[in-house]
Amino acid sequence: MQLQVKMTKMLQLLLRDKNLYFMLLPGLVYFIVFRYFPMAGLIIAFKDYDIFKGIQDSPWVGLDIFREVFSSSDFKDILFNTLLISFYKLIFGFPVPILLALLLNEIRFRFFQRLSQTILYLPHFISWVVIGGIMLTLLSPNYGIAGDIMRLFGVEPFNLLGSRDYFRSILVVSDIWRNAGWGTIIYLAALTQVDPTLYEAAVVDGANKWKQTWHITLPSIAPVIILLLILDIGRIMNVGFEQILILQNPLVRDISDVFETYVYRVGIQRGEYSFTAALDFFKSVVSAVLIISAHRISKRLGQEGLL
Amino acid sequence: MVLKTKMLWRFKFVVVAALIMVWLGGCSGEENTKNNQGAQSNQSGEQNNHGDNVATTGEPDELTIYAYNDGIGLNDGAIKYIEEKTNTKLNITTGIGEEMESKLNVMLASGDIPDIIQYQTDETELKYAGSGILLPLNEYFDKAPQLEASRSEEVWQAMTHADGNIYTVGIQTPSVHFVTMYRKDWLDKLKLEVPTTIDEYYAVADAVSNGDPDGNGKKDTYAFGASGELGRYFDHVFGAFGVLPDYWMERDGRIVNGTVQPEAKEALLFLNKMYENGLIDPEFITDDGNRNKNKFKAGVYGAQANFIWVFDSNNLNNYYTPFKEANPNGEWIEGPVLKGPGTESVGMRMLSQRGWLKTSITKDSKNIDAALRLLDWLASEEGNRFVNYGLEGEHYQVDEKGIIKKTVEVEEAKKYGIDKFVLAKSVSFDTATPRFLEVKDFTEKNALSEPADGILVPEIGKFGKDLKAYTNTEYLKMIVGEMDIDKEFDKFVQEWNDRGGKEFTDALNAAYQERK
Repeated sequence: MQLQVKMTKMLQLLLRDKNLYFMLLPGLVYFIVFRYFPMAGLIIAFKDYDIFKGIQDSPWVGLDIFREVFSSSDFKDILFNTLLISFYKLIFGFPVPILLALLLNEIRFRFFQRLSQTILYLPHFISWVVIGGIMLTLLSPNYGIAGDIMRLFGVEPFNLLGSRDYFRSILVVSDIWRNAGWGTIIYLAALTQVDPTLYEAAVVDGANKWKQTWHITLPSIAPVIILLLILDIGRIMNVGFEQILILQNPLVRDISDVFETYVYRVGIQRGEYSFTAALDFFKSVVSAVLIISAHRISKRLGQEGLL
Repeated sequence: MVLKTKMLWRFKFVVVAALIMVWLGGCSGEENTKNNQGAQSNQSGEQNNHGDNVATTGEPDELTIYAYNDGIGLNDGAIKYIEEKTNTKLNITTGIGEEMESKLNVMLASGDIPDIIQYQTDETELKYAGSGILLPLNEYFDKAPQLEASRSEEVWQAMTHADGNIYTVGIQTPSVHFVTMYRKDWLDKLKLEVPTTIDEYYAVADAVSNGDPDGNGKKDTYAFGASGELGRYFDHVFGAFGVLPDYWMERDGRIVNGTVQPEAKEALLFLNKMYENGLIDPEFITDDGNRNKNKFKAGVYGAQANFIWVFDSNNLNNYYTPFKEANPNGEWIEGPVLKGPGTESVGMRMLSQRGWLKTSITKDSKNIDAALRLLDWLASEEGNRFVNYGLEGEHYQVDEKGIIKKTVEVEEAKKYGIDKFVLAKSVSFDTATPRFLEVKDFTEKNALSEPADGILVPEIGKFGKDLKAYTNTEYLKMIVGEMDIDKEFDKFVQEWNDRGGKEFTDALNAAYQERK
């Protein structure tokens, strides 16, 4: 009886908002077809997959392939590189858009604000292939500006991109240069939502700019910051395939190879599908664990979660 | 309180807006892949249709081909001409570089198997042959006599698998295409001779790098550069010490890899010294083949191992002309194999007789006869000359010495489709100048042959690429001084063996003894 009431209620709700649900449908279909359905392919991580036999007829090997992955000499390097580069990108890259947004928000001259904002986020639209070419030229010790600067300071010019000491820093800096401006957009949107009366009240109470930022602006956009942090932590295993693939060279391969580049090189190019499927499976599980924990923590901190 | 709820609501709005943005971002990314997938499945759909067509007599036979992409255009005049000559209709899909074999793998995995396929590595050949999808060509040679005649007995021997079958036609280049060379004009200016020993070489390398041979007052010249991959660009130095890295050589009746020989350590120490003193272009790590080629053409290097094409003033690959344009007084001279400290020196590496590109017919093809007919014509003297140079009178002329002179510009030749469709091409020197042939003979005479060439063991697929990549990284570390060669070379050798090098070497030796 109760169930029936519930069902009728649900049906009524469904009917009432049928247009909205209808609009939701394409999104759902998209996720099921392109995101959930391909997951079935993960079974090749448990099989000795041979392209000529097909997924069906390839023999099951249980967890053998996972054992092979975890004992391979490359695995430790890749995991370490992935976490380290991601960690650097998060530590140095995450605060930059917030700072930029706060600075942009303080510009009172509208035209200049728009202009600088546009200039800041334009690099986001340049593909890594192009940026890679530009960087190769800029950082060239013989012909690039980097070589000129080094000579100016009396340093013997050396190849920055071919240096094991600097390569990861270059990855982080170029990533910030490309994406920080784009990241400000969401914060700027959040900043426009801050109630101006709060600032007025603060001014009356004698708060200076710094105090206003600290006590009003930042707390006001905190939910957005937390949300983006959760998203970033969920992506920590995805370091940026294109960037590393393009900037990489054989000298720094062992210190810059991450899951994505390794899977591409070994899985796609060499055709070791099962091995890399297992590797990627591991990566996805870690990502899922990370994102769920980040969500839990943010809830505990009293912020809005993601799920 | 009211204010707070209102604010919360606004934050929710922001959160939703942010989510929408993220979703849109993800969506547009996905859309690309979706479109690509769509395009691909369309393509394969088309091909399937063609494959199902049953050819009737007189009508052209339809063939689907997966080929190396050197800019093949389906409407190229050359393709039309070949279709006419062989009574076929060609549906060509292409791939290039490292993507070539992965694309083919995906096509095969989806059950879409072309009549003729091309791929590059022995690893892939072994895999396909092992899966039984390739047609044993040796059983069909009576239908393709010109194809059989286009390659020597020795080459077919190298193409033969352990089961006695030949599955592939190899596309070859000259057996040696590198030579040690020096800028003659720079040597004259610096009053130096072509070096014959490794110590003399160091002096010359130092002079061309630091002696400002181009006279512009800047340090912008080097002995040589490379393209990130170790291989050939260092062979003149390694050869002086008696080894070639990543190359199999015979020592006391056993096959060993040059990479892990003690002489390689000496060569690495020498290269490290060159690098530290600015004789090697520091960009050799980040340069790719194209950048290296452009620097070569621009006249940055003066004492190097590089392509012999620069000696050929008729060259299509176009090393000679751009170099001369950038350096009107520039002139190259070939140098002998450098003598090292005591040990026996070796020359340049030889390219595999198996070719750099391989063509196979698939076993389940419905048009085996047409595929054989096509390959047979392409391998014939007429066909090969057409693929290489086009049509006589229209694209080239033969002078009184029998040397082919191209009469059309490179761009025009490309537009017509000359030298692009290399399904069964054999190397031809009909356009070469006598000077080029002289240099070619000079370097071939001194080259070191590879005893393991043509021995196909499964270990190639298992360890080959991994060991190569590992060697490359470690060698580069040693050359640029990131690794202490004296201390760590032995550790490197150990690790190389542990990564499968030992197993690989043993397997090759076993097969080698058997072949003997």
